[in-house]
Amino acid sequence: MVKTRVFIDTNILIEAFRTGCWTAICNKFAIETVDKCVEEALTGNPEDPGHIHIDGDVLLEGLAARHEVGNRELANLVLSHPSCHGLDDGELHLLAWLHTQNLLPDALVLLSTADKAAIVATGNIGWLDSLTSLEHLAQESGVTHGQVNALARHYRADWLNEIRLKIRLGVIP
Amino acid sequence: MFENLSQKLIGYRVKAARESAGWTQDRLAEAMGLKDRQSVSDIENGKRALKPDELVLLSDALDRELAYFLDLFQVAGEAQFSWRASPGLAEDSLDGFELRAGQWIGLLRWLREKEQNRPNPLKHALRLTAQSSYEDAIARAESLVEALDLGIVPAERLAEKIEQDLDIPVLYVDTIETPDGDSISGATCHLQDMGVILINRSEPEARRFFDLAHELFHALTWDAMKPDHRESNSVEDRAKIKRVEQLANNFAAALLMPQASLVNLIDRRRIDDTDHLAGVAAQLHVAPVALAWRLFNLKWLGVETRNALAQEHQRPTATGTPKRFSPSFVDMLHRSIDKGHLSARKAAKAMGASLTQLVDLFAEHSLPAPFEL
Repeated sequence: MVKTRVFIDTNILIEAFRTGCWTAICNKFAIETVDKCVEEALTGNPEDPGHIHIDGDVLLEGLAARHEVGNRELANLVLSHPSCHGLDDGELHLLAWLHTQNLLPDALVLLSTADKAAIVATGNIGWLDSLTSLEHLAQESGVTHGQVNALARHYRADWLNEIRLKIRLGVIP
Repeated sequence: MFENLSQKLIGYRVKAARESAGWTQDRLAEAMGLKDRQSVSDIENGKRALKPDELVLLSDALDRELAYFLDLFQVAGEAQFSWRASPGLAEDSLDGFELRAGQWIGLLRWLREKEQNRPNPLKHALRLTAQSSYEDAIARAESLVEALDLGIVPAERLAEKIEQDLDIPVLYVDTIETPDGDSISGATCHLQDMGVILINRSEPEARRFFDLAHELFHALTWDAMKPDHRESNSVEDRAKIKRVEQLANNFAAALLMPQASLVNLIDRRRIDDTDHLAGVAAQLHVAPVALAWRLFNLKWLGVETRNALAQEHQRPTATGTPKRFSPSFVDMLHRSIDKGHLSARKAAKAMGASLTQLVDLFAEHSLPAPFEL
């Protein structure tokens, strides 16, 4: 059976490692990302109290694909969707690649990130319904209840639904 | 509006990058395959939007990262600074700090724009020139105390009034300091449509207020008498400083110690009592030496009392160190992240902080974290 392609950014990747979901979700889904997110995940500050160590080999083995994003893709996205100016590099590169590939909103799934700007920007491009949560992926992948319960609040389905509703109602941005 | 602003900002950066490379508009037009110099001129003036392919060509031609043109908080080619710094502070250290401060100011400008906080088209200015007398500068300061309704102790509400009534943001920041104690006291940053004052929040209180009043002078007279990129904050250099700086110092002294306040607070029967005068200096949040010179220049004191007062120690006061940046800046930053206009990680990078430190900044201003860690 063909795996569903899932595109993830740095925060999701780190949380999947922190909670031990990584291998399970990679077995269930075709996880893809961009070079910048891989770089960010592997170059966090080890001195930071919240730092999560990512094993580079395990990360790369789990990925179904990683994509290089060039200046053209970035320029295309930012000049056509100015709200993307407010995104951090990893989020920006991921959206730029998806924008250029014209893959969304049909059938594919994009994960949301810890702060709201990426969700707002994704909504502005018209892909709000393409977003899903790490909780959803983890449950679909058959991880333990303990691992699902270990997910931080903003990786949960309820959190994503709440933010999505606020965007639809115009409460944010 | 934001799209137009971006176009304008990109234009500034194109011009700065082209000039930095020593290219003419004709040469850039040719490299980008544009029909003539006028097209480049239109891009630089924000009248013509760049197409994605043109932006990539531009980035390659001028050998600049794409981020240079697209960074929201970039002020390169626009911002001009005047720093008040120790003579011993190395130039490259100051340049490095200027880059960091530029990010704060770029972020501040973007936040103001997002909140539709349009700059006042009637920019406030003091009607003074480098030929003005010290008495003129003092008279303007005395008038400003009344116009801003600063009251008997002008220092207390000065920062708030500068922000609210003069539309000049004031940021209290942690600056650099060398092991020998060389540091930056403050700065004025001048952009086309906004001035910003930076103050080293760790300075002693009296110096902080004096710097604020001094930098206000620069912010209000920038167009008429642009200050040097760097000036000394050393007491020893006071006699050597240029006329513009002397005007700024006279202005600052009168702003913090207007005659009406001196009449109100000083018991003239005790004009030679340095203990009484040092107490008044503490009430006004100025240094005894500053009050000594102000009263001497007003001919209220003789040389002997002036010198004795100048030797008095600063009395402790209870105002404490200001919170980092300013309440209005941190509020806007908080709202922007909370509303999803700005990624928390991008905000943290612009602030030169980690996400944890950003949470600490919000906590310092009694705000909950607008994002999850």
